[in-house]
Amino acid sequence: MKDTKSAAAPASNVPPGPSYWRRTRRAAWLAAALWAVVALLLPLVAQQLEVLAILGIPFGFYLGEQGVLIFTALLLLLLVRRQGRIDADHGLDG
Amino acid sequence: MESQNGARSRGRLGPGFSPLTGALATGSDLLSGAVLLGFTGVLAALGQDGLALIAGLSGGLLLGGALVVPHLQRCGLRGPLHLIAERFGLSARIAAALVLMAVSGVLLAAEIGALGTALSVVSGLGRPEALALAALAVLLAGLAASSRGMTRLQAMLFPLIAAALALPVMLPALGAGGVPIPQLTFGTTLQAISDLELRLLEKELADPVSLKAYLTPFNAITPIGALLLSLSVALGLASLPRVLSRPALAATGYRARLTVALSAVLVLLAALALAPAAASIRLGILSGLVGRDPAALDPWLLELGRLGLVKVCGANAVSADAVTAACAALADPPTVLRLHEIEVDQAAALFALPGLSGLPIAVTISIAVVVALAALAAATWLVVTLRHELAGRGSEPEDASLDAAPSSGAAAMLARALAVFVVPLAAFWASTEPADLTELLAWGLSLAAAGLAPSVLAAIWWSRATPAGAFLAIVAGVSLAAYYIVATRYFAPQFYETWSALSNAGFGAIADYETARDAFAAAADEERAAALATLHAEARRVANWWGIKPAMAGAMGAAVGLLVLVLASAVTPRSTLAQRELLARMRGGHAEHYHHIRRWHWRRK
Repeated sequence: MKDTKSAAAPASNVPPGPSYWRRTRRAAWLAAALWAVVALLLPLVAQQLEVLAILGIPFGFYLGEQGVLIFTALLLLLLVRRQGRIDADHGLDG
Repeated sequence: MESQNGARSRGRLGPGFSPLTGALATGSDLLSGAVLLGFTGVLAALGQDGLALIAGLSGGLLLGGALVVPHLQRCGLRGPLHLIAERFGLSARIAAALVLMAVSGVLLAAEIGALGTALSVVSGLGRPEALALAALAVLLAGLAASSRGMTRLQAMLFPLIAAALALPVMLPALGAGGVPIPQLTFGTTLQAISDLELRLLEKELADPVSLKAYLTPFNAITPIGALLLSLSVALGLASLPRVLSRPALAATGYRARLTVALSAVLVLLAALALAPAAASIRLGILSGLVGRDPAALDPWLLELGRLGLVKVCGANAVSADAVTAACAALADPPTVLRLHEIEVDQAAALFALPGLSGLPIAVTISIAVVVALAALAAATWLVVTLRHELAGRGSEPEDASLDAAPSSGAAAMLARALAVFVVPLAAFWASTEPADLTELLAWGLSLAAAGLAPSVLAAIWWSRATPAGAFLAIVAGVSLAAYYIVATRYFAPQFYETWSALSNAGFGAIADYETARDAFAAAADEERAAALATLHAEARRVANWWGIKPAMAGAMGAAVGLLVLVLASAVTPRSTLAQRELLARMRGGHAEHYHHIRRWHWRRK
């Protein structure tokens, strides 16, 4: 990504430049990493957290059938907001 | 190449559906007929171990929505093949097109299988006739349907799909005066299943070897296996046009991202009833069928048995007499049915739910109609997206707003012919009953994960990825996954003999395989067919690398594809200037960015 690391963030209504991409990249990969932790890694240790029953459902089961879906939907909604802010800061309308 | 303001101009002329419509359609597509039947079947049979599929489903939306969709939208690209074509050129495009055809074929086989089963349940048609009718319906719909029409249709289907999952769980609770919210009573249902499993074991009505405890994880799958399965499904979905192309066509980046996020919310809402429905099926089988007199089975069960969807004592449960005869013929004839003597086909579990809950047959028929519509719509959408992707940019009326040069009518015709050619092949394959619905879905998504995901992600996120690197990654990834899936399914004995050192099979399974192999070698001519079938069945249990199941081959193929991509990109010529300009446009860079890239490109020359 050498080619994205020059010049400062431009003002609105001119091309947004490299800081736009840096922030976009960070937000997107952070979401992917958080998903991987909760959906891929957490189930591996969920058995050890079975004491934490939710609505009477053992934690591991709850995580798999509902928790991961809730987390994913929240992550995507937060990403919409975050990217919206990044776009606005760089004078883009999305 | 598209001009810089191309993406903006689509805002006025875009495809004209709101993020909510796109999300409803995507949600309905993700909960397709094969997913509805397959996922409930797997969850009912395996309990917690089936949940890795749901993680994969969520991952498809997350990875697609965060890492791929916004960048396609920004550059006015409607799908992964268009991205690969623009970023990596013709060779990679052709390789990716072949992969997409194979993936679509496998996924179509699953949807046609689900549609066939649902049609059988609705009309009582036999399996071959139902599959032929299903294939014909998909073929005609795939030829006639437009992208916009399918989006509207699938959006309208979503409430029906959600209702088909929720009503069979809510109606019995309402009838009993209980709380009709599945999630609130779900914990109690799970507890009841666990208690019942223990009780059946004590009464010797369940086999301790074959019983998969519903609430105990990693019974049917290892922890790493669950991770690989989730990853295969997620990467596969995140690189397929069936998920990407609707949000990618949105008028603005905001609307594209919102479409994906709303899809996730809708899938969540509908899937709230998925696990409770599966648990109710399991509870119904444990409490309603196990311990029954084999001669006194309910008419709804015999109805499913007549369609080949329920077996009791190893024979199709077509009538009370047939069941009694089959059970009497067992070495250890039961007086009452034991758990391992009842086999409900994975594709029939959802259709058994109303009967198990004491609901009238009309509910089963209604669910089957919704499943048939969901499968037909998803299969049609697969054909439509394949058609669009093969034809290239600007070939469809929906693309009129893209300022790409329209591809010729001949290209669109060829794409249509190729897409439609896949349907009969898929239907024929489905008729050979290659695997369960979820297995088929996982195979298709594995091929996509192995063949497309590394190149799609690298096209956006790695500026040094080269056309040759992408081409080789596609070929290497998909070859490995396809070899693993095909060899372990159709050539299991040869696979095991070649790779026995890598198999993680236990001594018992290996001994069974060796016995079957020796029996086959010694079999007389008239016994050879039966001995060969046994040999293949035993070989499938031992044919693997490190215990990886074929459904997880996508993660393995994607890892190899990524490695090949990195190594090959390091030693092959860089992308052309035009291909690199696409990257700059994705990254929000314009004039100064281009200038920077041009200078770099020039220096390399």
